[in-house]
Amino acid sequence: MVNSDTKKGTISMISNIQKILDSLKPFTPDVKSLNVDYLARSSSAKVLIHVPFKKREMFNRIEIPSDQGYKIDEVFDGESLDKLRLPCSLEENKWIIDTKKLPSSEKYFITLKGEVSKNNLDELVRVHSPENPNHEDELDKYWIHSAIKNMGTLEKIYSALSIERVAVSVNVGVNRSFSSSIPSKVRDWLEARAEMEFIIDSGDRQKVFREWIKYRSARRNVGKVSTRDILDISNRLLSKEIFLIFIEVDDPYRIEGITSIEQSSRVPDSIKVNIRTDLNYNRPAAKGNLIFKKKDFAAKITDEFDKIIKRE
Amino acid sequence: MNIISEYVAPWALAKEKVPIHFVWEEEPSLKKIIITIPDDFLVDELLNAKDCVQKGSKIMIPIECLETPNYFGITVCSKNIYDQPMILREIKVQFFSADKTLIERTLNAKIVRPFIEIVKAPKKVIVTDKTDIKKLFNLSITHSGFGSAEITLKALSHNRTISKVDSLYYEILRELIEDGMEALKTGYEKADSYSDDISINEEEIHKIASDLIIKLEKHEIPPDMKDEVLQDIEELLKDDKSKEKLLQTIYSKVRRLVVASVLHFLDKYPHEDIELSFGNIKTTFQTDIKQLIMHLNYNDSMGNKYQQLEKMIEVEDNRTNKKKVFDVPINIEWNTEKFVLNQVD
Repeated sequence: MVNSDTKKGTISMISNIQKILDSLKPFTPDVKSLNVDYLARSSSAKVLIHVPFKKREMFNRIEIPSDQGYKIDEVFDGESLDKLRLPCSLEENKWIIDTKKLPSSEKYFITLKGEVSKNNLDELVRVHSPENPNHEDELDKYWIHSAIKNMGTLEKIYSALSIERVAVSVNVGVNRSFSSSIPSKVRDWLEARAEMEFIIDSGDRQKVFREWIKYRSARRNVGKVSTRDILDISNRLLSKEIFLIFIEVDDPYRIEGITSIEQSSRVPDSIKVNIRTDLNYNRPAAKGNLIFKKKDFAAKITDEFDKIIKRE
Repeated sequence: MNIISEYVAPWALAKEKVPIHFVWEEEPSLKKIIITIPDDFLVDELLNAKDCVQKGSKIMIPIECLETPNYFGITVCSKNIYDQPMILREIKVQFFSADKTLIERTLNAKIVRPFIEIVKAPKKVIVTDKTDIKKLFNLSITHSGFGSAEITLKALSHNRTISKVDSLYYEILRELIEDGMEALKTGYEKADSYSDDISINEEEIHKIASDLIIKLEKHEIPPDMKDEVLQDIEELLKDDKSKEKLLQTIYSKVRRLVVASVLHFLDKYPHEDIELSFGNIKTTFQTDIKQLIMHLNYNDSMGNKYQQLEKMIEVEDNRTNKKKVFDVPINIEWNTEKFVLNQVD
């Protein structure tokens, strides 16, 4: 029932690491951890190898293929835990470490770092959030769910798998906050202005005069507000710095940021809030809520308009 | 047996994915898990399990099929759309050892929908010389369900749609398209005659103009706009030179466009969870109209379409000059009846 070709992503990740482990066979490699960073689209594996003196006579080189998408990031002495500064040369698609250059310890940790494609990532984790939030009086609530799709394949072979910074995005609806908070006198002014423009085209002087009086009165009510101000308020309040003040998420989720809107000539319908969490063997699935403090946000919008209307 | 975490998404629209998971402390005696889903649901995906068998509404997961022995996830969704604003459906999960049930859990999936009703509409409208047409047509519409409803309203007479969108934004679009065609033919640019305090910078104007072109390219225009005009515009947009001319025409109208698009935005979202597809509508009154039928169609955010609402309204025209044709706005009072999900977590 579960199609095995959804494992393609994990299989290619495994086969890459497997090829590296095969080349390390003389040194009895043991993968201690495999971390996938979902946001950075990278993975790192910590491999413990054994290099007893006897082996150094037989094998004077530790070779790791460089064409499997991984490179050596760090090497630590397995006993002193010191980070080693080892010359590591690249020859014929292989990273080479000269065993003679190793200190006296017989154990070493090698950290391998590689890139993970989006397809591979999509096959590792499933994330969901709802189309519509639940409206409570002062806030809107969205549920968030993320889960590892296929734990075992990697987990069985390597003793510890963790997927860090699993990314979920939630589209938080903001259109209603704006449309309900733009003061009615601003709306009246906009409408009077729009009427004004049409009537002028009609050439009917009496009508133009009447509309002008209406327009002037509506204009006086809104002080120095301009249409530009409305768009500026929208762009400013929907920036990362301000908008995230009105967003909260439950543990184990953390806010990563928002996908910023371009400086727009329109007020957007929703803002994409990016959330992250970590998953592993003990927590293969995460649940929690995102809360949008819509009442406070609407109050902030009204506040901004009041400031402009009152300014000299 | 100790369950560490169990979860079902607290609400979902019809056909929207409902994620579920169970995490437990490894239990050596656990031999199999049986999940029973409702008949009107289907399984979208199983997580951390392979080669499982589904018989009818039961999914059997022998322990050997679990990738790791402490966790599984399943995503389900409803097959259908429902009539009620909320329905509850049970998903049963049973954990078995060789000879008995270790743990049994029942999860409740809540499938919700927006629910719109026209609660007040005139049965008859009488038009006289003294009638204030702005106050003639009043509807009261209530939303008593869950989630955003995208609504399209139409008024018909003799099976013909006689309503059109009441939007300055679309008026300017129409003008734009006509002027755009003119500009292309004669090569002139119409300047805006009214100047005032608004100042928008060059970059902003270009942004507005490009946004509008994108809208036209995407066919985002109201249904009553003629197709032939759109085809002409598509031709215009194909050629860089003529596209530039269209841009110039937009440029000259942009100030009005900015105002119009803000008003349009306000009209489009008149109330919580209501999106009027094309803003307010108005209907054109002519002498031969004796009866109007209002059609209200709506869908939810998943695109599920719900049953059309209809209201019939009789029209009596008592004016002295019945030949005069006029537009009547349709005034809508929006209400929300609070919808409570019993258990929100």
